[in-house]
Amino acid sequence: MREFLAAELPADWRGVGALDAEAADAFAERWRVTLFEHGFLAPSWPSEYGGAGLTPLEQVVLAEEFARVGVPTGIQNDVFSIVMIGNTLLHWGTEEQKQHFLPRILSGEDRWCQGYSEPGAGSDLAGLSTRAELDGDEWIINGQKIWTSSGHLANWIFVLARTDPDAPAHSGISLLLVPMDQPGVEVRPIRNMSGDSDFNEVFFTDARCPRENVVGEVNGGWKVAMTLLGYERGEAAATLPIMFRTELDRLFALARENGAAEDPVLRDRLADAYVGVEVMRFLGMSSLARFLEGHPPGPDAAVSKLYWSEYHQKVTELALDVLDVESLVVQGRRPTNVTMFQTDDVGAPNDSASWITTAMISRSGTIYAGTSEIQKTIIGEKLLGLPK
Amino acid sequence: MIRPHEPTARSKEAMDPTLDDAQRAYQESLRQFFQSKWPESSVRASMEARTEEETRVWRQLAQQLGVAGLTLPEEVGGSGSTQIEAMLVLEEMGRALYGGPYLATVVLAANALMLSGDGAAGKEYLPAIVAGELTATLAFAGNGRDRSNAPTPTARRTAGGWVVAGTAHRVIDGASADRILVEADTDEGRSLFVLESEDGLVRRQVETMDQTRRLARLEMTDVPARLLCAAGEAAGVLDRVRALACLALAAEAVGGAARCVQETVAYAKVRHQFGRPIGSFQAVKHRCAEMQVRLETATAAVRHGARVAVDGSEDLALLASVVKVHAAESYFRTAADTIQLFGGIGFTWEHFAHLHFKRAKATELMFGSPRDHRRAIANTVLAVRG
Ligand SMILES: Cc1cc2nc3c(=O)[nH]c(=O)nc-3n(C[C@H](O)[C@H](O)[C@H](O)COP(=O)(O)OP(=O)(O)OC[C@H]3O[C@@H](n4cnc5c(N)ncnc54)[C@H](O)[C@@H]3O)c2cc1C
Repeated sequence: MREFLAAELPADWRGVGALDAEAADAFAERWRVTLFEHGFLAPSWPSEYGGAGLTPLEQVVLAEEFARVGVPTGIQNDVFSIVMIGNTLLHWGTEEQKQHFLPRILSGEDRWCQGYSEPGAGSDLAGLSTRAELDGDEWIINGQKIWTSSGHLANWIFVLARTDPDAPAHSGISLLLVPMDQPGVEVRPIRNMSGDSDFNEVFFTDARCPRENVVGEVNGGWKVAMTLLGYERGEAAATLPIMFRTELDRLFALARENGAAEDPVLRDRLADAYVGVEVMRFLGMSSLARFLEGHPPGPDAAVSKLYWSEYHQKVTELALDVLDVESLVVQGRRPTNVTMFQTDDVGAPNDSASWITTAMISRSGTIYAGTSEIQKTIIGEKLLGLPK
Repeated sequence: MIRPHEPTARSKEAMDPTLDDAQRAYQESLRQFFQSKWPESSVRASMEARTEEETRVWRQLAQQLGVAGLTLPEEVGGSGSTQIEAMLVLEEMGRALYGGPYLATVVLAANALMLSGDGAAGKEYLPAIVAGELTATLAFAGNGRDRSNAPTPTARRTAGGWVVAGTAHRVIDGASADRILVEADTDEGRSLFVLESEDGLVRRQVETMDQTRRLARLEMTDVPARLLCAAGEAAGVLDRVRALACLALAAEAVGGAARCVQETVAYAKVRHQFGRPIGSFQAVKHRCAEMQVRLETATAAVRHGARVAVDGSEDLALLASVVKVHAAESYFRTAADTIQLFGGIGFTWEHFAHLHFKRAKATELMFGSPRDHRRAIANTVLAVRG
């Protein structure tokens, strides 16, 4: 892995954060091609579908090295294309679906986004009301999705739609694969609190997709949807602590430079952040041991999701206090979306813009992929067996 | 490999992949031992002074389960196991609120004797410690906060050998230990001694907030003592023992917290109000979930600490601070929530919750408070690097 990275990256590589925003985006696109050519874009997929067929341990090593060096594992949409729908197709898809969609995902021809949440259905996803009806060989889709991340960059969307309006909430839903490049699909950007527009509303007005574009059974989509939601990168247990540690080291550097490290109260909070990120590493090692033994992540994922998202809010709040009045002014390079929606890119300069944006972004960590309240309910009910 | 989400309720310990089968079996026999031999009634009976039962149970622990010799070499009767097994012992002790001689005798004194490299003293005391026949303790200068806070006992050479003078505070098992190791200042620097006589020694048991652990004040007036390590060279030994003691308290904290979570969750399932189990109320369920998160993270931390104590792959003092801060604070929060979630009954003397609450606070404050440790952490991690 190290040889691969040494061969493919410039000698003075300091992480994608050292590039300005445009150069970073351009790098990500080029890097994706390199990964594709070496089979590292979907390292866990079998080689017949263009993956590298790596063992779990190898996947972890790969992810760790990438996180350390500060290169992305794909572009923004790949979390939806590869991690979510690609893996779900490997699990539930027909052979035709796999043969058709998986290569197009890897080549970059198809870029996916996730059409789950609706204005009236967030935490209570089963309350969704987007409808799909069969018309001959096609589904006709009407309704609205919201918070669709990277939807403006996608040309395909996987849509949870109600296909049997008379059935109980969970049993009349199907997962449809819908092309976005058609008159019946309209994407409108939504601006988030950091000022960026990464998520969207998606409107369906008599939009169409072929009858065979259902994953799993018609009306059996809830199970498929849950499989998709649970696709958890085992390697996240290994990479999150690395990312957050790199970020904290950067905060330490800032605190030393501007003297905040001498303030006893801030010093105590900085040390507490260190405790927090170390505990994340220990937790990661224990999840990793389970992952490598072949245990599915299951409700454990709720523990680490809750832990890192709450940790990150605390540490970025601290960062603003370390910056003190400098937090009043946005100055310097703003984080890109290249590495992920969590920390700023590795190698990023220690500017106020970096911390301010990250602090804003961190507020979403406790909302997306199941809010903290929902995670606690999962832990209570699934892990501890408390009654509903 | 990426796998689907298949939520199933399961027992945490049963799944711990970091333990091997033998370790799991050992954990199970320890748990059974404490369940039958050290129920809460024994904890309460021993809260005043050491009971005969306690002495008996300690011998059994040493002789039947080999707890005292786990990390000691075979020459002195130990089994040469690792800190992992020792950590399992401590977790079960914490779960059972065991306050017997293990912490002082084994974690403090036996480790210090081993690390001192004094072969003669080791041969003299360690076999008896392993057999459960001899108890011991170590009086750190200032049990916790900045050492300069308490005037450190001093030692000097006399014609008849070394003598130690001064007061040692909050010495665990100080009133009952058969042998007392003392950290003292000499002209050469920090040194470690074993007191050799009761002459000039006054042991005063003090009333403790955490009644499950006994502390004493030792007043020493030129007590004859034997030097361990060369004079002035005990700092390394004491620092390592202190780190091991922090990890030990953290392991106990995990056991205690596990018990709190287990009991609280069980109660939340059966206690009904407003016609439903209280565990179905989110305010209750979510507190339980937070307890579980603290428990899982603290367990992971303690297990990692034990591995590092074995393989030396990381800075042990720094790691011990991190692990102790997290485990102790987690335990305290969880014990406090336990009282809350049991309601009025949780506030009673007869209920188990206050025993954990007090022990958890004591755990936070012994061998350095969270603030002390965070200060030490900051001094290391915020230091300008290379
Ligand atoms: C940055 C970002 C990106 C996203 N990307 C996507 C995407 O690509 N595709 C997609 O489909 N969705 C996406 N989402 C949507 C996300 O999944 C939802 O926002 C989330 O599920 C919460 O739903 P909601 O916003 O409707 O809030 P609500 O469900 O209305 O929740 C509001 C508040 O009520 C609380 N609450 C709700 N129900 C309960 C309960 N039972 N018990 C206790 N408290 C409760 C919540 O915890 C929260 O605090 C994204 C969201 C964000 C913030």
